[in-house]
Amino acid sequence: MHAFEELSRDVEERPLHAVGSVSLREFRNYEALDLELSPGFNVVSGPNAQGKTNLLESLYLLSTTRLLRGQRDAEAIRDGADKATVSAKILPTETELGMSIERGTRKKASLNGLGLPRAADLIGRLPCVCVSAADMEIVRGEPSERRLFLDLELSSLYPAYLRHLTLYKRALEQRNALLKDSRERHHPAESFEIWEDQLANHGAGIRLARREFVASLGPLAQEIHEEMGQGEGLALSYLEKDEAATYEAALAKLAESRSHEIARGTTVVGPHRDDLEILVDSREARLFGSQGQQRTAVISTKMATLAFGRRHTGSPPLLLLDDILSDLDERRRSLLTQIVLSRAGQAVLTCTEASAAGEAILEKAKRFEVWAGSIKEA
Amino acid sequence: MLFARPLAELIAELEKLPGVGPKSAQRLAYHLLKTTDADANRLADSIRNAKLKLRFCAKCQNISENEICEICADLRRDQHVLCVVAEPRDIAAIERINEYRGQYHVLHGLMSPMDGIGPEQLRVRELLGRLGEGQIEEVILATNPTIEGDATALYLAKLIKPAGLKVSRLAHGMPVGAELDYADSATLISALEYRREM
Repeated sequence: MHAFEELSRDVEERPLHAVGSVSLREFRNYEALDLELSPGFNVVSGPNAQGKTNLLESLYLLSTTRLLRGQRDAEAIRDGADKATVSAKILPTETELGMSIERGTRKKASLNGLGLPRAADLIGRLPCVCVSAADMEIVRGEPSERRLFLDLELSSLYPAYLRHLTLYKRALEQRNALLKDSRERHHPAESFEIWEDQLANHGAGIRLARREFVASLGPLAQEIHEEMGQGEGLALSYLEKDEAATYEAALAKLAESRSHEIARGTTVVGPHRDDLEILVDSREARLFGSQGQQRTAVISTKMATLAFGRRHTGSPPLLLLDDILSDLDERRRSLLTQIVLSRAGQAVLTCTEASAAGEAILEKAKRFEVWAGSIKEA
Repeated sequence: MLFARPLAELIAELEKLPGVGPKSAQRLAYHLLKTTDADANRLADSIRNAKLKLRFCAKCQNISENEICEICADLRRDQHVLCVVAEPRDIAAIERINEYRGQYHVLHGLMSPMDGIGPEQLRVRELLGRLGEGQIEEVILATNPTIEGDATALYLAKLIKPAGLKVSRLAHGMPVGAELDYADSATLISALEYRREM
Protein backbone atom coordinates (compact mmCIF):
# COMPACT_ATOMS: atom_id res chain seq x y z
CA MET A 1 0.00 0.00 0.00
CA HIS A 2 2.77 2.43 0.83
CA ALA A 3 5.70 3.21 -1.39
CA PHE A 4 8.06 3.76 1.53
CA GLU A 5 8.81 0.16 2.42
CA GLU A 6 12.05 0.21 0.50
CA LEU A 7 13.12 3.47 2.02
CA SER A 8 16.44 2.24 3.35
CA ARG A 9 17.32 0.01 0.44
CA ASP A 10 20.48 0.85 -1.46
CA VAL A 11 20.09 1.44 -5.16
CA GLU A 12 22.76 0.72 -7.74
CA GLU A 13 24.93 3.69 -8.65
CA ARG A 14 23.80 5.40 -11.82
CA PRO A 15 25.48 8.07 -13.88
CA LEU A 16 25.41 11.46 -12.21
CA HIS A 17 22.46 13.58 -13.20
CA ALA A 18 23.62 17.16 -13.37
CA VAL A 19 22.33 20.52 -14.47
CA GLY A 20 24.10 21.29 -17.75
CA SER A 21 22.72 24.75 -18.26
CA VAL A 22 20.26 27.09 -16.64
CA SER A 23 18.31 30.00 -18.17
CA LEU A 24 16.53 32.74 -16.25
CA ARG A 25 14.17 35.37 -17.66
CA GLU A 26 12.91 38.20 -15.47
CA PHE A 27 13.67 36.12 -12.41
CA ARG A 28 14.54 38.16 -9.28
CA ASN A 29 17.23 40.64 -10.35
CA TYR A 30 18.11 38.78 -13.56
CA GLU A 31 16.65 40.18 -16.75
CA ALA A 32 18.15 37.41 -18.86
CA LEU A 33 20.78 34.90 -17.87
CA ASP A 34 22.07 31.80 -19.65
CA LEU A 35 24.70 29.85 -17.82
CA GLU A 36 26.61 26.64 -18.50
CA LEU A 37 27.33 24.87 -15.23
CA SER A 38 30.04 22.37 -14.49
CA PRO A 39 28.72 18.90 -13.65
CA GLY A 40 31.12 19.07 -10.69
CA PHE A 41 31.70 22.08 -8.47
CA ASN A 42 30.57 25.62 -9.21
CA VAL A 43 31.68 28.50 -7.03
CA VAL A 44 29.68 31.70 -7.34
CA SER A 45 31.20 34.72 -5.62
CA GLY A 46 30.48 38.43 -5.38
CA PRO A 47 29.40 41.11 -2.92
CA ASN A 48 26.10 40.81 -1.08
CA ALA A 49 22.78 41.62 -2.76
CA GLN A 50 24.10 41.12 -6.32
CA GLY A 51 22.19 37.90 -7.08
CA LYS A 52 24.22 34.92 -5.83
CA THR A 53 21.39 33.46 -3.81
CA ASN A 54 18.90 34.21 -6.59
CA LEU A 55 20.79 31.89 -8.92
CA LEU A 56 20.75 29.18 -6.27
CA GLU A 57 17.08 29.81 -5.70
CA SER A 58 16.23 29.27 -9.37
CA LEU A 59 17.62 25.73 -9.13
CA TYR A 60 15.86 25.20 -5.81
CA LEU A 61 12.61 26.28 -7.48
CA LEU A 62 12.97 23.70 -10.26
CA SER A 63 13.71 21.04 -7.68
CA THR A 64 11.03 21.80 -5.10
CA THR A 65 8.61 24.24 -6.86
CA ARG A 66 9.20 26.53 -3.86
CA LEU A 67 11.15 29.69 -3.29
CA LEU A 68 13.70 29.87 -0.50
CA ARG A 69 12.45 31.29 2.81
CA GLY A 70 8.90 30.26 1.83
CA GLN A 71 8.18 33.47 -0.05
CA ARG A 72 5.19 33.88 -2.30
CA ASP A 73 5.75 33.04 -5.95
CA ALA A 74 5.07 36.51 -7.36
CA GLU A 75 7.98 37.91 -5.36
CA ALA A 76 10.35 36.15 -7.72
CA ILE A 77 9.19 38.21 -10.72
CA ARG A 78 11.60 41.01 -11.56
CA ASP A 79 10.30 44.50 -10.81
CA GLY A 80 8.36 45.84 -13.77
CA ALA A 81 7.99 42.43 -15.46
CA ASP A 82 4.85 40.25 -15.61
CA LYS A 83 6.34 36.81 -15.90
CA ALA A 84 9.46 35.06 -14.65
CA THR A 85 10.74 31.86 -16.21
CA VAL A 86 13.44 29.42 -15.17
CA SER A 87 14.58 26.44 -17.16
CA ALA A 88 17.41 23.95 -16.90
CA LYS A 89 18.78 21.19 -19.06
CA ILE A 90 19.59 18.00 -17.16
CA LEU A 91 22.50 15.90 -18.40
CA PRO A 92 23.02 13.24 -19.66
CA THR A 93 19.34 12.78 -20.56
CA GLU A 94 18.98 16.31 -22.00
CA THR A 95 15.66 16.59 -20.18
CA GLU A 96 14.52 20.18 -19.93
CA LEU A 97 12.73 21.29 -16.80
CA GLY A 98 10.88 24.59 -16.79
CA MET A 99 8.87 26.74 -14.44
CA SER A 100 7.06 29.96 -15.14
CA ILE A 101 5.56 32.35 -12.63
CA GLU A 102 3.04 34.89 -13.81
CA ARG A 103 1.16 37.45 -11.75
CA GLY A 104 -2.42 36.53 -11.05
CA THR A 105 -2.20 32.87 -12.09
CA ARG A 106 -0.68 29.69 -10.72
CA LYS A 107 2.90 28.88 -11.57
CA LYS A 108 3.28 26.39 -14.38
CA ALA A 109 5.82 23.61 -14.75
CA SER A 110 6.96 22.04 -17.98
CA LEU A 111 8.93 18.99 -19.03
CA ASN A 112 10.73 19.22 -22.37
CA GLY A 113 8.55 22.18 -23.23
CA LEU A 114 5.30 20.35 -22.54
CA GLY A 115 3.14 21.68 -19.72
CA LEU A 116 2.66 19.36 -16.73
CA PRO A 117 -0.81 19.06 -15.16
CA ARG A 118 0.40 20.49 -11.85
CA ALA A 119 3.51 22.36 -10.76
CA ALA A 120 4.08 19.70 -8.10
CA ASP A 121 4.56 17.11 -10.85
CA LEU A 122 8.00 18.56 -11.37
CA ILE A 123 9.08 17.40 -7.92
CA GLY A 124 11.51 14.48 -7.93
CA ARG A 125 13.06 15.22 -11.31
CA LEU A 126 15.94 17.28 -9.96
CA PRO A 127 16.62 16.17 -6.39
CA CYS A 128 18.57 18.78 -4.45
CA VAL A 129 19.81 19.53 -0.96
CA CYS A 130 20.08 23.19 -0.06
CA VAL A 131 21.90 24.46 3.03
CA SER A 132 21.50 28.10 3.99
CA ALA A 133 21.61 30.24 7.12
CA ALA A 134 17.82 29.97 7.39
CA ASP A 135 18.24 26.25 8.09
CA MET A 136 19.45 27.10 11.58
CA GLU A 137 15.74 27.14 12.39
CA ILE A 138 15.74 23.37 12.03
CA VAL A 139 17.56 23.20 15.34
CA ARG A 140 16.50 26.46 16.95
CA GLY A 141 12.92 26.88 15.79
CA GLU A 142 9.53 25.45 16.66
CA PRO A 143 8.63 21.81 15.93
CA SER A 144 6.82 23.05 12.81
CA GLU A 145 10.24 23.98 11.31
CA ARG A 146 11.49 20.44 11.79
CA ARG A 147 8.32 18.91 10.37
CA LEU A 148 8.71 21.20 7.37
CA PHE A 149 12.27 19.93 6.93
CA LEU A 150 11.07 16.31 6.96
CA ASP A 151 8.12 17.11 4.69
CA LEU A 152 10.25 18.88 2.08
CA GLU A 153 12.89 16.15 1.99
CA LEU A 154 10.33 13.35 1.80
CA SER A 155 8.13 15.12 -0.77
CA SER A 156 11.08 15.59 -3.08
CA LEU A 157 11.85 11.88 -2.89
CA TYR A 158 8.31 10.49 -2.90
CA PRO A 159 5.36 12.04 -4.72
CA ALA A 160 3.22 9.57 -2.74
CA TYR A 161 4.33 11.30 0.46
CA LEU A 162 3.33 14.70 -0.88
CA ARG A 163 -0.07 13.30 -1.74
CA HIS A 164 -0.55 11.88 1.77
CA LEU A 165 0.49 15.24 3.19
CA THR A 166 -1.82 17.34 1.01
CA LEU A 167 -4.84 15.14 1.64
CA TYR A 168 -4.05 14.91 5.36
CA LYS A 169 -3.99 18.70 5.70
CA ARG A 170 -7.28 19.06 3.88
CA ALA A 171 -9.01 16.39 5.99
CA LEU A 172 -7.56 18.07 9.09
CA GLU A 173 -9.10 21.43 8.14
CA GLN A 174 -12.46 19.73 7.62
CA ARG A 175 -12.36 17.91 10.95
CA ASN A 176 -11.28 21.07 12.76
CA ALA A 177 -14.21 22.95 11.23
CA LEU A 178 -16.51 20.19 12.45
CA LEU A 179 -14.98 20.31 15.95
CA LYS A 180 -15.57 24.06 16.15
CA ASP A 181 -19.12 23.72 14.88
CA SER A 182 -19.80 21.03 17.50
CA ARG A 183 -19.92 23.73 20.16
CA GLU A 184 -23.02 25.10 18.43
CA ARG A 185 -24.78 21.90 17.47
CA HIS A 186 -24.44 18.17 17.87
CA HIS A 187 -22.86 16.13 15.07
CA PRO A 188 -23.27 12.34 14.96
CA ALA A 189 -20.24 10.05 15.11
CA GLU A 190 -20.44 9.24 11.37
CA SER A 191 -19.83 12.88 10.49
CA PHE A 192 -16.51 12.68 12.33
CA GLU A 193 -15.61 9.18 11.18
CA ILE A 194 -15.52 10.06 7.50
CA TRP A 195 -12.75 12.63 8.09
CA GLU A 196 -11.00 10.56 10.74
CA ASP A 197 -10.79 7.65 8.31
CA GLN A 198 -8.80 9.81 5.91
CA LEU A 199 -6.71 11.35 8.68
CA ALA A 200 -5.83 7.90 9.99
CA ASN A 201 -5.03 6.58 6.52
CA HIS A 202 -2.86 9.46 5.33
CA GLY A 203 -1.49 10.08 8.82
CA ALA A 204 -0.23 6.49 9.01
CA GLY A 205 1.46 6.97 5.63
CA ILE A 206 3.11 10.17 6.81
CA ARG A 207 4.35 8.66 10.07
CA LEU A 208 5.66 5.52 8.43
CA ALA A 209 7.70 7.55 5.96
CA ARG A 210 9.02 10.01 8.54
CA ARG A 211 9.93 7.24 10.98
CA GLU A 212 11.85 5.27 8.36
CA PHE A 213 13.48 8.38 6.96
CA VAL A 214 14.73 9.56 10.36
CA ALA A 215 15.93 6.03 11.20
CA SER A 216 18.08 5.98 8.05
CA LEU A 217 19.15 9.59 8.33
CA GLY A 218 20.32 9.34 11.95
CA PRO A 219 23.43 7.17 11.41
CA LEU A 220 24.41 9.14 8.30
CA ALA A 221 24.16 12.42 10.22
CA GLN A 222 26.15 10.96 13.10
CA GLU A 223 28.93 9.88 10.76
CA ILE A 224 29.18 13.33 9.19
CA HIS A 225 29.00 15.00 12.56
CA GLU A 226 32.02 12.98 13.66
CA GLU A 227 33.88 13.95 10.52
CA MET A 228 33.13 17.57 11.36
CA GLY A 229 35.52 16.91 14.24
CA GLN A 230 33.07 17.39 17.02
CA GLY A 231 33.65 14.09 18.74
CA GLU A 232 30.16 14.54 20.08
CA GLY A 233 27.35 12.18 19.42
CA LEU A 234 24.57 13.53 17.23
CA ALA A 235 21.35 11.57 17.45
CA LEU A 236 18.12 12.08 15.52
CA SER A 237 14.83 10.55 16.49
CA TYR A 238 11.27 10.98 15.36
CA LEU A 239 8.95 11.82 18.24
CA GLU A 240 5.34 10.74 17.89
CA LYS A 241 3.33 12.76 20.35
CA ASP A 242 0.65 10.10 20.64
CA GLU A 243 1.04 6.36 20.41
CA ALA A 244 -0.96 5.59 17.33
CA ALA A 245 1.44 4.06 14.87
CA THR A 246 -1.04 2.27 12.63
CA TYR A 247 -4.23 3.15 10.80
CA GLU A 248 -6.38 1.24 13.29
CA ALA A 249 -4.67 2.77 16.32
CA ALA A 250 -4.98 6.28 14.88
CA LEU A 251 -8.67 5.72 14.16
CA ALA A 252 -9.27 4.67 17.78
CA LYS A 253 -7.19 7.57 19.11
CA LEU A 254 -9.11 10.14 17.06
CA ALA A 255 -12.48 8.76 18.20
CA GLU A 256 -11.34 8.77 21.82
CA SER A 257 -10.03 12.36 21.69
CA ARG A 258 -13.14 13.81 20.08
CA SER A 259 -14.83 15.13 23.22
CA HIS A 260 -11.87 17.06 24.61
CA GLU A 261 -10.89 18.21 21.12
CA ILE A 262 -14.34 19.79 20.74
CA ALA A 263 -13.50 21.93 23.79
CA ARG A 264 -10.23 22.99 22.19
CA GLY A 265 -11.71 23.36 18.72
CA THR A 266 -8.78 21.65 17.06
CA THR A 267 -7.33 18.20 16.40
CA VAL A 268 -4.49 17.45 18.82
CA VAL A 269 -3.57 13.89 17.84
CA GLY A 270 -1.72 13.00 14.67
CA PRO A 271 1.54 13.60 12.80
CA HIS A 272 0.89 17.35 12.55
CA ARG A 273 1.97 17.57 16.20
CA ASP A 274 5.07 15.37 15.97
CA ASP A 275 8.67 16.52 16.24
CA LEU A 276 12.16 15.60 15.14
CA GLU A 277 14.40 15.41 18.16
CA ILE A 278 18.00 16.49 17.62
CA LEU A 279 20.33 15.50 20.45
CA VAL A 280 23.97 16.45 20.79
CA ASP A 281 25.69 14.42 23.51
CA SER A 282 22.29 13.24 24.67
CA ARG A 283 21.10 16.78 25.25
CA GLU A 284 18.54 18.64 23.20
CA ALA A 285 20.51 20.87 20.81
CA ARG A 286 17.67 23.37 20.65
CA LEU A 287 17.91 24.17 24.37
CA PHE A 288 21.46 23.35 25.37
CA GLY A 289 23.60 23.69 22.26
CA SER A 290 25.99 26.57 21.67
CA GLN A 291 25.59 28.44 18.40
CA GLY A 292 28.55 26.53 16.95
CA GLN A 293 27.13 23.19 18.05
CA GLN A 294 23.75 24.05 16.61
CA ARG A 295 25.30 25.05 13.31
CA THR A 296 27.30 21.84 13.08
CA ALA A 297 24.22 19.80 13.95
CA VAL A 298 22.24 21.45 11.13
CA ILE A 299 25.02 21.04 8.58
CA SER A 300 25.48 17.38 9.54
CA THR A 301 21.74 16.71 9.29
CA LYS A 302 21.46 18.45 5.93
CA MET A 303 24.56 16.79 4.51
CA ALA A 304 23.13 13.46 5.68
CA THR A 305 20.14 14.03 3.38
CA LEU A 306 22.65 14.29 0.55
CA ALA A 307 24.07 10.89 1.46
CA PHE A 308 20.56 9.55 1.88
CA GLY A 309 19.52 10.83 -1.55
CA ARG A 310 22.55 9.20 -3.10
CA ARG A 311 21.77 5.85 -1.51
CA HIS A 312 18.19 6.16 -2.53
CA THR A 313 18.43 7.25 -6.15
CA GLY A 314 21.91 5.97 -6.97
CA SER A 315 23.27 9.43 -7.67
CA PRO A 316 23.90 12.30 -5.23
CA PRO A 317 21.36 15.13 -5.33
CA LEU A 318 22.46 18.57 -6.46
CA LEU A 319 24.07 20.34 -3.49
CA LEU A 320 23.36 24.04 -2.99
CA LEU A 321 25.46 25.70 -0.28
CA ASP A 322 24.34 29.26 0.30
CA ASP A 323 27.04 31.25 2.03
CA ILE A 324 27.69 28.49 4.54
CA LEU A 325 31.47 28.22 4.35
CA SER A 326 32.21 31.84 5.20
CA ASP A 327 30.37 31.55 8.53
CA LEU A 328 32.54 28.68 9.77
CA ASP A 329 35.88 28.90 11.53
CA GLU A 330 38.97 27.77 9.61
CA ARG A 331 38.99 24.22 10.99
CA ARG A 332 35.31 23.42 10.49
CA ARG A 333 35.41 25.00 7.07
CA SER A 334 38.17 22.71 5.88
CA LEU A 335 36.42 19.68 7.43
CA LEU A 336 33.16 20.57 5.67
CA THR A 337 35.09 21.03 2.44
CA GLN A 338 36.37 17.46 2.80
CA ILE A 339 32.84 16.20 3.39
CA VAL A 340 31.57 18.07 0.33
CA LEU A 341 34.43 16.72 -1.79
CA SER A 342 33.82 13.16 -0.70
CA ARG A 343 30.04 13.12 -0.91
CA ALA A 344 28.70 15.63 -3.40
CA GLY A 345 28.22 15.11 -7.09
CA GLN A 346 27.29 18.43 -8.59
CA ALA A 347 27.42 21.42 -6.26
CA VAL A 348 26.79 25.15 -6.47
CA LEU A 349 28.43 27.13 -3.67
CA THR A 350 28.00 30.83 -3.05
CA CYS A 351 30.36 32.99 -1.01
CA THR A 352 31.35 36.65 -0.84
CA GLU A 353 35.01 35.80 -1.43
CA ALA A 354 35.78 32.83 -3.67
CA SER A 355 38.67 31.94 -1.35
CA ALA A 356 36.15 30.85 1.32
CA ALA A 357 35.49 27.75 -0.80
CA GLY A 358 39.04 26.58 -0.08
CA GLU A 359 41.84 25.54 -2.43
CA ALA A 360 40.74 21.93 -2.71
CA ILE A 361 37.34 22.86 -4.11
CA LEU A 362 38.52 25.84 -6.17
CA GLU A 363 41.02 23.64 -8.01
CA LYS A 364 38.18 21.54 -9.36
CA ALA A 365 35.52 24.21 -9.65
CA LYS A 366 34.14 26.34 -12.41
CA ARG A 367 34.13 29.88 -11.03
CA PHE A 368 31.61 32.63 -11.55
CA GLU A 369 31.49 36.23 -10.44
CA VAL A 370 28.20 37.99 -9.85
CA TRP A 371 27.69 41.70 -10.21
CA ALA A 372 24.32 43.49 -10.34
CA GLY A 373 22.31 40.73 -11.97
CA SER A 374 24.89 39.53 -14.43
CA ILE A 375 27.27 36.62 -14.08
CA LYS A 376 30.69 36.19 -15.66
CA GLU A 377 32.90 33.18 -15.70
CA ALA A 378 35.98 34.03 -13.67
CA MET B 1 -19.41 58.26 -13.82
CA LEU B 2 -17.63 55.72 -15.95
CA PHE B 3 -20.74 53.92 -17.31
CA ALA B 4 -24.32 55.07 -17.71
CA ARG B 5 -26.29 53.63 -14.80
CA PRO B 6 -28.21 50.86 -16.70
CA LEU B 7 -24.95 49.72 -18.29
CA ALA B 8 -23.16 49.71 -14.95
CA GLU B 9 -25.99 47.59 -13.50
CA LEU B 10 -25.77 45.12 -16.37
CA ILE B 11 -22.01 44.79 -15.92
CA ALA B 12 -22.44 44.33 -12.18
CA GLU B 13 -24.96 41.51 -12.75
CA LEU B 14 -22.80 39.76 -15.35
CA GLU B 15 -19.81 39.94 -13.05
CA LYS B 16 -21.62 37.79 -10.53
CA LEU B 17 -21.59 34.86 -12.98
CA PRO B 18 -18.98 32.14 -12.39
CA GLY B 19 -15.84 32.56 -14.49
CA VAL B 20 -16.71 36.12 -15.50
CA GLY B 21 -14.30 38.84 -14.39
CA PRO B 22 -14.69 42.62 -14.76
CA LYS B 23 -13.22 42.67 -18.27
CA SER B 24 -15.39 39.84 -19.63
CA ALA B 25 -18.43 41.39 -17.97
CA GLN B 26 -17.81 44.65 -19.83
CA ARG B 27 -17.26 42.84 -23.12
CA LEU B 28 -20.47 40.84 -22.68
CA ALA B 29 -22.44 43.95 -21.73
CA TYR B 30 -21.31 45.88 -24.81
CA HIS B 31 -22.07 42.84 -26.94
CA LEU B 32 -25.59 42.62 -25.52
CA LEU B 33 -26.19 46.30 -26.23
CA LYS B 34 -25.34 45.70 -29.86
CA THR B 35 -27.70 42.73 -30.32
CA THR B 36 -31.19 43.21 -31.73
CA ASP B 37 -34.10 43.77 -29.36
CA ALA B 38 -35.48 40.37 -30.32
CA ASP B 39 -32.25 38.58 -29.40
CA ALA B 40 -31.90 40.44 -26.14
CA ASN B 41 -35.52 39.67 -25.23
CA ARG B 42 -35.04 36.01 -26.06
CA LEU B 43 -32.10 35.84 -23.66
CA ALA B 44 -34.03 37.62 -20.92
CA ASP B 45 -37.07 35.37 -21.50
CA SER B 46 -35.04 32.20 -21.45
CA ILE B 47 -33.49 33.14 -18.12
CA ARG B 48 -36.91 33.99 -16.71
CA ASN B 49 -38.42 30.80 -18.14
CA ALA B 50 -35.68 28.59 -16.81
CA LYS B 51 -36.13 30.05 -13.34
CA LEU B 52 -39.90 29.79 -13.57
CA LYS B 53 -40.41 26.40 -15.15
CA LEU B 54 -37.54 24.34 -13.81
CA ARG B 55 -37.62 22.56 -10.50
CA PHE B 56 -36.04 19.55 -8.89
CA CYS B 57 -37.31 16.12 -9.87
CA ALA B 58 -39.29 14.70 -6.94
CA LYS B 59 -37.40 11.41 -7.25
CA CYS B 60 -33.78 12.02 -8.27
CA GLN B 61 -33.48 15.77 -7.45
CA ASN B 62 -32.09 16.47 -10.92
CA ILE B 63 -33.19 19.67 -12.64
CA SER B 64 -36.46 18.93 -14.40
CA GLU B 65 -39.30 20.59 -16.23
CA ASN B 66 -41.86 18.20 -14.78
CA GLU B 67 -42.62 16.81 -11.34
CA ILE B 68 -40.70 13.69 -12.41
CA CYS B 69 -37.74 14.08 -14.79
CA GLU B 70 -37.40 12.27 -18.11
CA ILE B 71 -34.87 9.78 -16.81
CA CYS B 72 -36.97 8.81 -13.80
CA ALA B 73 -40.08 8.62 -15.96
CA ASP B 74 -38.43 6.24 -18.42
CA LEU B 75 -39.62 2.83 -17.28
CA ARG B 76 -37.35 1.01 -19.73
CA ARG B 77 -34.38 1.98 -17.57
CA ASP B 78 -33.02 -0.40 -14.94
CA GLN B 79 -35.01 0.17 -11.74
CA HIS B 80 -32.58 -1.71 -9.50
CA VAL B 81 -29.35 0.28 -9.87
CA LEU B 82 -28.90 3.82 -8.59
CA CYS B 83 -25.97 6.12 -9.24
CA VAL B 84 -25.34 8.92 -6.70
CA VAL B 85 -23.70 12.11 -8.04
CA ALA B 86 -22.83 15.47 -6.51
CA GLU B 87 -24.20 17.81 -9.19
CA PRO B 88 -26.75 17.74 -12.04
CA ARG B 89 -23.93 18.25 -14.56
CA ASP B 90 -22.47 14.89 -13.48
CA ILE B 91 -25.62 13.17 -14.81
CA ALA B 92 -25.11 14.85 -18.17
CA ALA B 93 -21.52 13.54 -18.24
CA ILE B 94 -22.56 9.95 -17.52
CA GLU B 95 -25.53 10.07 -19.89
CA ARG B 96 -23.26 11.20 -22.73
CA ILE B 97 -21.42 7.86 -22.77
CA ASN B 98 -24.68 5.97 -23.33
CA GLU B 99 -23.59 3.00 -21.21
CA TYR B 100 -25.41 3.42 -17.95
CA ARG B 101 -29.13 2.65 -17.98
CA GLY B 102 -30.02 2.86 -14.29
CA GLN B 103 -31.39 5.54 -11.97
CA TYR B 104 -29.69 8.63 -10.56
CA HIS B 105 -29.71 10.67 -7.40
CA VAL B 106 -28.25 14.19 -7.12
CA LEU B 107 -26.88 15.31 -3.75
CA HIS B 108 -26.41 18.96 -4.77
CA GLY B 109 -23.00 19.26 -3.18
CA LEU B 110 -20.51 17.36 -1.04
CA MET B 111 -19.93 17.24 2.69
CA SER B 112 -17.64 20.08 3.74
CA PRO B 113 -17.75 21.33 7.34
CA MET B 114 -15.45 24.20 6.31
CA ASP B 115 -18.29 25.51 4.15
CA GLY B 116 -20.98 24.58 6.62
CA ILE B 117 -22.22 21.68 4.49
CA GLY B 118 -23.34 18.55 6.31
CA PRO B 119 -25.87 15.82 5.43
CA GLU B 120 -28.80 18.16 6.19
CA GLN B 121 -27.65 20.57 3.47
CA LEU B 122 -27.51 17.71 0.92
CA ARG B 123 -30.33 15.60 -0.49
CA VAL B 124 -29.45 12.66 1.74
CA ARG B 125 -32.83 12.25 3.41
CA GLU B 126 -34.46 12.01 -0.03
CA LEU B 127 -31.92 9.35 -1.04
CA LEU B 128 -32.60 7.23 2.04
CA GLY B 129 -36.31 7.58 1.40
CA ARG B 130 -35.91 6.17 -2.11
CA LEU B 131 -33.74 3.30 -0.92
CA GLY B 132 -36.34 2.53 1.74
CA GLU B 133 -38.90 1.81 -0.99
CA GLY B 134 -37.05 -1.44 -1.61
CA GLN B 135 -36.63 -1.51 -5.40
CA ILE B 136 -32.95 -0.51 -5.51
CA GLU B 137 -30.43 -3.33 -5.10
CA GLU B 138 -27.16 -1.64 -5.99
CA VAL B 139 -25.86 1.86 -5.29
CA ILE B 140 -22.93 3.33 -7.26
CA LEU B 141 -21.27 6.24 -5.49
CA ALA B 142 -19.95 8.49 -8.26
CA THR B 143 -18.65 11.45 -6.27
CA ASN B 144 -15.34 13.03 -7.33
CA PRO B 145 -12.10 11.45 -6.07
CA THR B 146 -11.33 14.39 -3.76
CA ILE B 147 -11.17 14.48 0.04
CA GLU B 148 -14.75 15.76 0.15
CA GLY B 149 -15.94 13.32 -2.51
CA ASP B 150 -14.36 10.40 -0.65
CA ALA B 151 -15.74 11.56 2.70
CA THR B 152 -19.25 11.90 1.29
CA ALA B 153 -19.05 8.48 -0.35
CA LEU B 154 -17.85 6.94 2.92
CA TYR B 155 -20.66 8.64 4.82
CA LEU B 156 -23.29 7.27 2.45
CA ALA B 157 -21.73 3.81 2.45
CA LYS B 158 -21.92 3.77 6.27
CA LEU B 159 -25.63 4.58 6.08
CA ILE B 160 -26.55 2.34 3.17
CA LYS B 161 -24.50 -0.82 3.65
CA PRO B 162 -26.19 -1.98 6.86
CA ALA B 163 -29.43 -2.20 4.84
CA GLY B 164 -27.82 -5.03 2.83
CA LEU B 165 -27.51 -3.13 -0.45
CA LYS B 166 -24.58 -3.59 -2.78
CA VAL B 167 -22.48 -0.41 -2.66
CA SER B 168 -19.66 0.45 -5.08
CA ARG B 169 -17.48 3.46 -5.84
CA LEU B 170 -16.23 4.62 -9.26
CA ALA B 171 -12.66 3.47 -9.97
CA HIS B 172 -9.95 6.07 -10.34
CA GLY B 173 -6.68 5.71 -12.21
CA MET B 174 -4.90 6.53 -15.45
CA PRO B 175 -6.87 8.44 -18.06
CA VAL B 176 -7.22 6.35 -21.22
CA GLY B 177 -4.67 7.28 -23.87
CA ALA B 178 -2.45 9.15 -21.41
CA GLU B 179 1.33 8.93 -21.30
CA LEU B 180 2.86 7.75 -18.05
CA ASP B 181 5.67 10.29 -18.04
CA TYR B 182 3.29 13.22 -18.20
CA ALA B 183 0.59 11.91 -15.89
CA ASP B 184 0.17 13.89 -12.69
CA SER B 185 1.63 11.97 -9.80
CA ALA B 186 -1.59 11.84 -7.75
CA THR B 187 -3.33 10.03 -10.62
CA LEU B 188 -0.41 7.69 -11.09
CA ILE B 189 -0.31 6.85 -7.39
CA SER B 190 -3.97 5.99 -7.24
CA ALA B 191 -3.72 4.05 -10.50
CA LEU B 192 -0.98 1.94 -8.88
CA GLU B 193 -2.90 1.58 -5.65
CA TYR B 194 -6.02 0.39 -7.47
CA ARG B 195 -4.21 -1.70 -10.08
CA ARG B 196 -5.95 -4.89 -11.13
CA GLU B 197 -4.75 -8.35 -11.81
CA MET B 198 -4.55 -9.52 -15.40
